Amino acid sequence: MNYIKHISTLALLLVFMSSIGQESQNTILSKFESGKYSIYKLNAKKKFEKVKKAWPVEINKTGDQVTSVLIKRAGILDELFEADVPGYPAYFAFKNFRISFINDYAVYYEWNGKQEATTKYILVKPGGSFSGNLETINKNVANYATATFKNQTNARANVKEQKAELAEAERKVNSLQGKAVSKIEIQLVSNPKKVAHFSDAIQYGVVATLKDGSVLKTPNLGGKIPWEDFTLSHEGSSNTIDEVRMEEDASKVPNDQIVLKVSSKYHPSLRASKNIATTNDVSIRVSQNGFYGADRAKATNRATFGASQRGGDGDQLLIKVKTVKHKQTGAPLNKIEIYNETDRKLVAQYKLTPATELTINSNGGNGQWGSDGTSSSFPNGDNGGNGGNGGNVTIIKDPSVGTLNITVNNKGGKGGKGGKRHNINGTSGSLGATGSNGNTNNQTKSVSLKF
Amino acid sequence: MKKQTVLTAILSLFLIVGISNTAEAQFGKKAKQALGLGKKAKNKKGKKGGKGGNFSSFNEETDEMGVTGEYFGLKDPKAVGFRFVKEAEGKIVNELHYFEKNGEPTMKLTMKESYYTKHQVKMFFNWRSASSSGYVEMMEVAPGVFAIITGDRSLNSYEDPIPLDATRTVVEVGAKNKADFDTWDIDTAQAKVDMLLATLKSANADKVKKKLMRFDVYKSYKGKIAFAKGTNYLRNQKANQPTEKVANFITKRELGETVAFKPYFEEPLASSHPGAWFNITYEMLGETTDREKLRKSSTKFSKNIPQIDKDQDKFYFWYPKVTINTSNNVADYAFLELLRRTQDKLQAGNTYDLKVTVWAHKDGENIDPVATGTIQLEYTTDENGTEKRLFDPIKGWITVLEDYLDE
Repeated sequence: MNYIKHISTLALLLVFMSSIGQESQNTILSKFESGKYSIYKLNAKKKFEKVKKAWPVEINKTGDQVTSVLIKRAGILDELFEADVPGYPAYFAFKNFRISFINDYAVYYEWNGKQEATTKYILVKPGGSFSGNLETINKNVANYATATFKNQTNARANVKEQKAELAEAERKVNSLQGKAVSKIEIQLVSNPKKVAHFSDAIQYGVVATLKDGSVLKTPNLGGKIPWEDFTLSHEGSSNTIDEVRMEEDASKVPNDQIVLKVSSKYHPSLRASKNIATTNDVSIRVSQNGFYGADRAKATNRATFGASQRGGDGDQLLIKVKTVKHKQTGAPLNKIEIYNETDRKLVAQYKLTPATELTINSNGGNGQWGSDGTSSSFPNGDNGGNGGNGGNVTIIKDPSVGTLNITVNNKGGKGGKGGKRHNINGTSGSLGATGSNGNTNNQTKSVSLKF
Repeated sequence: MKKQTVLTAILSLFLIVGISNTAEAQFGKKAKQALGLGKKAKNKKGKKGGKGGNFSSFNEETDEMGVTGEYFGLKDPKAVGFRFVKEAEGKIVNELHYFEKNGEPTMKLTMKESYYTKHQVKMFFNWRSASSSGYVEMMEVAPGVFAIITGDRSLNSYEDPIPLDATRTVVEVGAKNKADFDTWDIDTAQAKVDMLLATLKSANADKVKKKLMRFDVYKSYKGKIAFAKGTNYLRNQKANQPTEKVANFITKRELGETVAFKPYFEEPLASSHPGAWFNITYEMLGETTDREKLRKSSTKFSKNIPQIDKDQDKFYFWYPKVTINTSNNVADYAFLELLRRTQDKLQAGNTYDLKVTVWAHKDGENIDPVATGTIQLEYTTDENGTEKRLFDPIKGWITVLEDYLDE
């Protein structure tokens, strides 16, 4: 009989707990009033002990909804806790602290992203009582909060809806949608000094003139027209919002200019474009060096054993150059194609002014350092790995090429340092040999390029 | 029976002595410990710390800060003396001298003048050694009440206190009037210190932002995300000095190659969204992946997508993030999942817009975007291009993710 009694009590308790879990703070706080609350704080032994002075607590409501709770800590410090989700609060927050009211008391706690609560105080309402241990309180408040989060779906959706409505209202005010627009223009935020492969981004915005003469601008020009109002279809550059960069691949800039193109989504007949001639004057460095000896396994995808690994060889490169005229300015431009014969792949296609420096690195990788002797059983240091050889670079210039500012670095990699001996019975490893320098072969003959 | 009574009496005596020794958690000793001076006291186990001096005469002195006087500790009721010294040897020094005995001060703390002149916060500090344990700070939390504070940072400059974003812990409260201890316990003093720090931090954030606006990168990218070919292009050495070069930022990259990114915020998350942490979403080809949602969807994602709960007090991420980093084979699983979901729509030769959004996130919800950016990803056609990077039968990014999820 007693057993049945216990089961029924447990069941009732579970029902009670789950009902608590489903109630928002608005419902729970209907049983609370402003007043002086008794405070229990954790002592050094992690037990709750009552504090002498009660703290004033003000519960602020709008209709049935509790909007905030003002706690006057120790009667002197104001802490205003605000509802997390108005309409269905699970807690009230002040900085990193939260309070949730449960049973006869409020739990004042910290919350972390792992859905865990760390209780700092218990605030017991006038006439209420409290007995509990830290672990249970932490668990209860965490369970309450997470269960209530699940029930906040509607309230959260309302908040989202309100936010979305506000955002939409703001968008409409600033958008060209439904407005009589006479023209749109592209305006650069500042004139770019250089327009070349790897030059700084070009920042631009859109200016719309309405039929009533008023002018609207995109945010980067100090206005508020949303970028979503426009379709972008730039050429010779990345097609990104509010800033563009010249393509790294010259074959994608066929007319030696970037063309910024913008059209209005709501007024498709309104289009704007701006042509920006390239300057092709940013120095470029192309590196196709051999790997460091220690990276041999990673670079070759093959297991290596021990230190003393040889550096990788610089790649063999074929560079073809032809001079053409800039399609907008008529100035001479070197068209440069760099092909990696080792990897059998096209590395780059550039257009550079004759004076702009192109640096080609195809140095051999350095040899790995030898390991030191480790014990009297292994007293000898390993030899350093040999350096890799520099890559051979062939430069074929078309007869049209007048000036080409090119520097080729294809030295052999340095040998790795030998490992130190462990003791007098051992020998130190020797320095690895330096790799041989690569050859640079200059030729002049008619060249055909792939771009 | 008699024997038992005597034994009980002796035991009780031991207990009383023991308790009184333990309870000797002195105000002065706390300050000493913070300064690394407490070793002697520790070694002399069993001996009492002494009664200290009598500083009641200090109460008759006046100073412009109104802090000079005799103080008692909350944990250690022993009397100590505080004296504000404005001038010494003809120079303005603005020091707080702390006395445990009559005579020479036990330590001299320097006032952080700007906190007082700009915000009326009376804060004094002292570096006894360069380690964090050698730092002590005293902050007035109410007239005649000081919080004694330790910090978690080691020395940067003897002239300055630990930075405002350091963790400060109140270890003791000192008051002229013992009755103030009814109000000012350690926790309340800590709460007041946190409040004062919040005021200082907020003013400091304005100052920091003003300084950041000197840097082109922050001026142009606040509220946005910058992308680069590697994390090295986005790093910098000193706090609040974003020296990274805008020229190294990119707007287009080969799909499957390394893309590092760094968001710059209008204001730190801790002030714009207190109690929130960061989340990142990736959008491409109509699909969106959300780190926090994925974390909660399976143990595998949970394990590989850590929560971003750092940098809430900064104007940008201290360490840049990556979608993929080929140099160390690291990737954001949320980005890989985006690739996995969109793989059937990807075509060689095409370029796709990837929108990255950094959110303020709390209680399972993305509250507000705090930085956004778009980069174009090109599906290259070379032999060793995107196809190989994504779909290599062993090492392709999508292959590896699919194999892992299928385990």
